[in-house]
Amino acid sequence: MKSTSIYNEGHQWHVFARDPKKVDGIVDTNQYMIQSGDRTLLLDPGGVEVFASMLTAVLHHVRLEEITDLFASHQDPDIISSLGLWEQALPHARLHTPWVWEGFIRHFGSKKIQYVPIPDEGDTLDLNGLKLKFVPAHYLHASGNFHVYDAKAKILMSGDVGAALEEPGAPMFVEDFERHVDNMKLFHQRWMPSNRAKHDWICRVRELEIDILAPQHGRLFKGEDVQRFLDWFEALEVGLAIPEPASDTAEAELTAVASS
Amino acid sequence: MRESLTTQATILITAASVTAELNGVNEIAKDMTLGVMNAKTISHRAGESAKGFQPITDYIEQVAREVAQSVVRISAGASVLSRLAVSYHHSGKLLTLYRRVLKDAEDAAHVASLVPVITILSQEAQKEQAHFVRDLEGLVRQLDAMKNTIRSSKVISTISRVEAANSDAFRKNLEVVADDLESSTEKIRERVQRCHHQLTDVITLVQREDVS
Repeated sequence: MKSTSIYNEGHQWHVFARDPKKVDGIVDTNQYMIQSGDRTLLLDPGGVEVFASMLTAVLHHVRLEEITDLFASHQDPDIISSLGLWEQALPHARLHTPWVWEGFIRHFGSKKIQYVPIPDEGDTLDLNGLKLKFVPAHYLHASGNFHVYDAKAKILMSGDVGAALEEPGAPMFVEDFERHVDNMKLFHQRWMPSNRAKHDWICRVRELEIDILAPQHGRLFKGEDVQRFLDWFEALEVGLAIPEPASDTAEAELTAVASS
Repeated sequence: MRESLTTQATILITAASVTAELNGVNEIAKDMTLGVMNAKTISHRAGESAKGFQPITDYIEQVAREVAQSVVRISAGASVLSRLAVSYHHSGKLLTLYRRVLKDAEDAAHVASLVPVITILSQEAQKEQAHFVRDLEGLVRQLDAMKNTIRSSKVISTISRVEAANSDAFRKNLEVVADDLESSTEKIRERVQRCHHQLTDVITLVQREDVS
């Protein structure tokens, strides 16, 4: 598992990704870790298949007892199916996750861990004095979904927003935004179900100062590429799996309903 | 833990097989009950000459009832086997996984923090193994008790043959009852013996696994 430090000024951000031991056929994932003094938060710690590599990589930076908190942006297996394995090593850690998913995430073999449900409007986690904001991102793509914003580091961990499904070994940061669009267009059109949810998120995120946008798959965006991404995503029509009804058909249906 | 997947598969197959054998035993016990009702009618019709046969039919009835009750108890235990197998397999798999990380992370600065976790996992896996073996041995003991019941019913089938000989008019009918009893007990004995073998094989397999 490749480990990259993306921020180190008083507290640290690491991204773990591009696992060379990854089983074929599963998507590559970016796992993040924030160290603040003697407390550490793992963000979207990954699926069971990457657990061993992830734990090995983490032990290069922290002692197990320093990992006090886990965060799961939503309930997907590539996000948190390793929970039952982590909790063997972290019996006293707390899991911050959208309230809607607690009963579902427990299916990943979790018996001991303490759940801290995040309310729909979001919340703040104090990690040894570092304030981390859980930013609502509902329906992007899961119906209960949060991102994590660190105002000090100006990093937004953006879950599946900004994600790209690429060949193994892709660079850690976007180098040519226009070329990268091809890697993420279909993913956003197909996985993101709601234009309304997208606009709500764009408005919320535009108010944040962001140096690095850090998605859960693919490359991270930094500097001007962050604004480029927001502009591109704002203009993109999403939820394309269900075609829009032809306007004359829709009109005919409305007429039939009105006259019935 | 070596061959743990194979062990789990063997346990699951054994649980299914023991349950199927016990269902077969239950069917035979039901047939025995029907046979007893028939024998009771015959000995009643035979009157005084089959008087010695009546306590025998009562005894066969009791054996059939005891076998059916044992089947219910052992089947319940066998159905728990599958759940125990999964739990046992899970604890061993966790230990293997964490040991792999310990090896892979040997040059990591904080690898020592993994050692207490592995110690706990190892203790839990040993506890799980001991619990599993204890439950399996409990099932084997119940099968042994059933074997004793069946052994005594074999003696009864011999006595019933002697009593049938005293009843001239109904001798043939009562001999058929004795034959049926003998055949049923033999079938049950074979099935119970197969369950016994399978469970003791699983105990050996589990005990051979090193989870320390």
